[in-house]
Amino acid sequence: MIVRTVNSVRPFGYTLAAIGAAVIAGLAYYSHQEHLKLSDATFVTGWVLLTAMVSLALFNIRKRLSMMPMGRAAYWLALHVVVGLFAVGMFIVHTGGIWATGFYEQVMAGLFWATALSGVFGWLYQRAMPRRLTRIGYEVVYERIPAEIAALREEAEEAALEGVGASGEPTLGRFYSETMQDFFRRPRFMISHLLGAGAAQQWVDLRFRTVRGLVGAQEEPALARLEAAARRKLSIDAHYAIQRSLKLWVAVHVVLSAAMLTLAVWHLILVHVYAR
Amino acid sequence: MTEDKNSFAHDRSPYERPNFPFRCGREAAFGKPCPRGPSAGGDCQGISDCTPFRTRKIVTNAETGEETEIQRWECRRPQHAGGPCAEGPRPDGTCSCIHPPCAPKPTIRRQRGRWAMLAVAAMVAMALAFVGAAGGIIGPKPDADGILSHVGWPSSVNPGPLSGKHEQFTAKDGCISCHVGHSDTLTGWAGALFERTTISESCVSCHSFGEKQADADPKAQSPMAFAAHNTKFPNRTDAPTATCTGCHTEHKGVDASITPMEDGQCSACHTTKFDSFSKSHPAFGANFPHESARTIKFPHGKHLETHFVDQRYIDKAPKNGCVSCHTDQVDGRLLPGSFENGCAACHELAIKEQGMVVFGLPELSDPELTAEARDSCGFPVPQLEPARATLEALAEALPTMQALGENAESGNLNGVMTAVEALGEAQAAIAEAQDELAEAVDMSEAVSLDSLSPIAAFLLAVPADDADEYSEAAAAFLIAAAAEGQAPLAEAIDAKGGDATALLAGLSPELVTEVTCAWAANTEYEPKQDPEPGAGWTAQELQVSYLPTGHADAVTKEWIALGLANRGSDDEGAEAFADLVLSAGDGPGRCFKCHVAPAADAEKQVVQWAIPRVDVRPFTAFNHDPHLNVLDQGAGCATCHRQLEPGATLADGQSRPGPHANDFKPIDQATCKDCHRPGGVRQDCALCHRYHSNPSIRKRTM
Repeated sequence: MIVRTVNSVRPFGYTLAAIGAAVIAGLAYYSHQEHLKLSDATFVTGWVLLTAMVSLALFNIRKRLSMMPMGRAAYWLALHVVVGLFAVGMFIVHTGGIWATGFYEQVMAGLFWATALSGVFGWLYQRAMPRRLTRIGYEVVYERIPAEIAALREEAEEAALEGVGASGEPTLGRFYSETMQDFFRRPRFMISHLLGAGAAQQWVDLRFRTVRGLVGAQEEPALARLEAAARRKLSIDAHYAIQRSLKLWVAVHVVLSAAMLTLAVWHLILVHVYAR
Repeated sequence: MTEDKNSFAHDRSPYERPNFPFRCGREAAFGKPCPRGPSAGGDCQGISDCTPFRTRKIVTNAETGEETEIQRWECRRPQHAGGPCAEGPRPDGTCSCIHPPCAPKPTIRRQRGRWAMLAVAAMVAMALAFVGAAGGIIGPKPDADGILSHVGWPSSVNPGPLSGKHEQFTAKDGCISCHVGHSDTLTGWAGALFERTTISESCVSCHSFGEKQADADPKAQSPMAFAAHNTKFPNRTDAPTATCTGCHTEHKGVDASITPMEDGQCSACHTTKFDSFSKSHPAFGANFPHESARTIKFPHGKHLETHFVDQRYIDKAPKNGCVSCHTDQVDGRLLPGSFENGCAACHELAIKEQGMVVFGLPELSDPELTAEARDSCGFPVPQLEPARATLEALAEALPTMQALGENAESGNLNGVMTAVEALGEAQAAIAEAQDELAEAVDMSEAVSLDSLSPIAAFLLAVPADDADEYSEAAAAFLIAAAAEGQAPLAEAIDAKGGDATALLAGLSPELVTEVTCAWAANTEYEPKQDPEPGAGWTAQELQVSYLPTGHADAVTKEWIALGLANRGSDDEGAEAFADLVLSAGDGPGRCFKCHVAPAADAEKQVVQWAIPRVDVRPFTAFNHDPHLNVLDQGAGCATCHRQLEPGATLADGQSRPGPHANDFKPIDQATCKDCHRPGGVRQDCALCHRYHSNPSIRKRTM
């Protein structure tokens, strides 16, 4: 039975988007009317754009002040996405195009578009990746993953020793040391996990399918224990790849935003010195 | 289904948060982390498993009742790390589970913060590093050779290259060439952040819009610089002002156009709104583009239909149609070329023959005045001298006749013979005296004109045909002319407010004296050779005349100007003088066969000789060039410029005008719309209309 929860964020986002679109349309119309009247609306649109960009940066502060009752993060994210798209529109209205001619304005425009594109990418990415994480069927905090891997490694080593001890054959011991030890040392198959491919799964399947024909009945329990650890490792690796990419994306987005805001402030100073 | 092993329970896992700045160095290498993790400052705390806690316990002896304090060190290793260790703390209170230290690593969050700060620092550094480049805050400083080393560098101030026409404009002073608000110092730059200035004021220090006084005074600002269309519109006193930067946006690149205008910008002020030229442009004027008064009268129809096909003149007719004469391109207009290239072949000679008599030598009513005038040339008074000679001859003959009588009575034949000889001599003297007297009598019938010339009468302010009235003034004038040449003529001109130097330019004083004295000698002046057309100042018989040296003769134009200045004056002779120099005929007035004379009641009595180069429609521009090759095959210029048929009626109801008015039909807007329509050629306002009125660059900036 599928239970649908009432999602109030989406209407909130749509409402915000409608308001943002209306404001952009209004300011574009105002800007054009000022242009027709041989006047200039770039100061107005510029201040609106800067306000939007600063408000986008507030999202980061909201995350830092998670202990304060400032509304659900989902609402803030919706606000962040809508204002980000609004900023893109305002940028076009403000500059009258998508690119600039001067050196520093080109750098600033490049940073803006890089930030905007990274934001759009991240928005889509963070909508897709959590579903992938859910489908993995295992939850782990990113910061705990190294410890988890270390624990799995200990578990795998114990299983290999157990197999050797139970049968007196070195098969499982050699299998672990020659084939699986490197697998358990650190996260593996990052790109495959990131792309949702099955390379890691196939690799593990193949290895255990091969070794299963070489072990005896006494070693079976140990082999099963070792395989369980390997399969858990696959889940953890997938978590690691996806969570790390999400964190790195945020880092790129934040760094680009910081650089762009710095130049935006510089631009603000310059236009008040020169352009009036 | 998500598997939950509850492995993150407080007693099964360390307390970890994403916002921790550091993580265990072993963990970073995917090893087993120490249970304590690094400190907030990034120091390893994993050397020991815990920090033992010292407990105090008071134990009371049941027997003695004595209380004793017992201190113990207790292991504080957390449950998720295995709980209290078996060894317990050492006696000195240190942990007995000692490990080698690790090097804690910053978390992604920590690294993200560092990268962000680095990015901010990089942007600030870039802004400051390139701030002075390409004429930044303080502008480029030329080196000893005057070379601007910063030009071409990327700048953190310059928002983009200037347009081509302004590209080199800032080479000397940098940004302050236009952005004067911040001066050329850093403090001035900072101060400009809080000071409101207008860049447009810098623009009009070089650009002017018809105000010549602005050229004279560098600080003077064009009063019409920011007015709509740089012009006063009496019917639109509410017309909004505009700034230069409202339309002209700079720093968009060398190849960027900074002069685009949108149709909507015109519609923002203009009360007559319309969608597009082809759809609803207001109708052209009734006689567009021929509404304005012309300065040259050229009957196209008569020339094209009559003269240019006349076999007598066909070799002089233009061979290339309209563009044979319309050779001068001014702002897209095709104006007629010079007189010499178009008209001289037929009209040059007639111009050189259109002379005028400046003054003639009149008959004077009083013989004494005549005698006085002639005396001024050194001639004797002709009536008295012969009579005196006759009387002297007679007086000399009287004693001889008495001696003859006496000798005849006395019979003295020798004496008679002597007396007869003396009488013969006396008779010859008398005869000679009689001849002289007869000559003097002839001279009393003077060789002179019956009246003054209209010009002389006007200058002397006397009636031209009344000898009693003009004799005294004329005699004085002639006496002075005989002695001083043209000086009395110049004085008379000055008295009338004329420019004698220009009016008499080229007139020889000797010529005036010779003509006057010939008259004084009662003879007619005979020039060495008959004057040719275009000879300039010339004299013949009893008149001093001027023959124009050619088209646009300066002296003739000056006499016409003097005639116009005295047009309608009540001064004696003014009407006849003006009539002479202004009326069409053989005199200077012949100029007005082609040139348009100002109307008699016009405020400015000035002839506009040249075709004005300034467009009478400053806000309309038509470029002929792109139209010449796309017109109807064979129709050429006549596609748009169609002649009126004889007897046709103009749009304003006027019938086909005479030879001195325009004889073309107004331009038909439909002809334009054949091409200028949606899907065809451009039809925006700026294609045919301009915003600025008389834009120019001030001389001091050239």
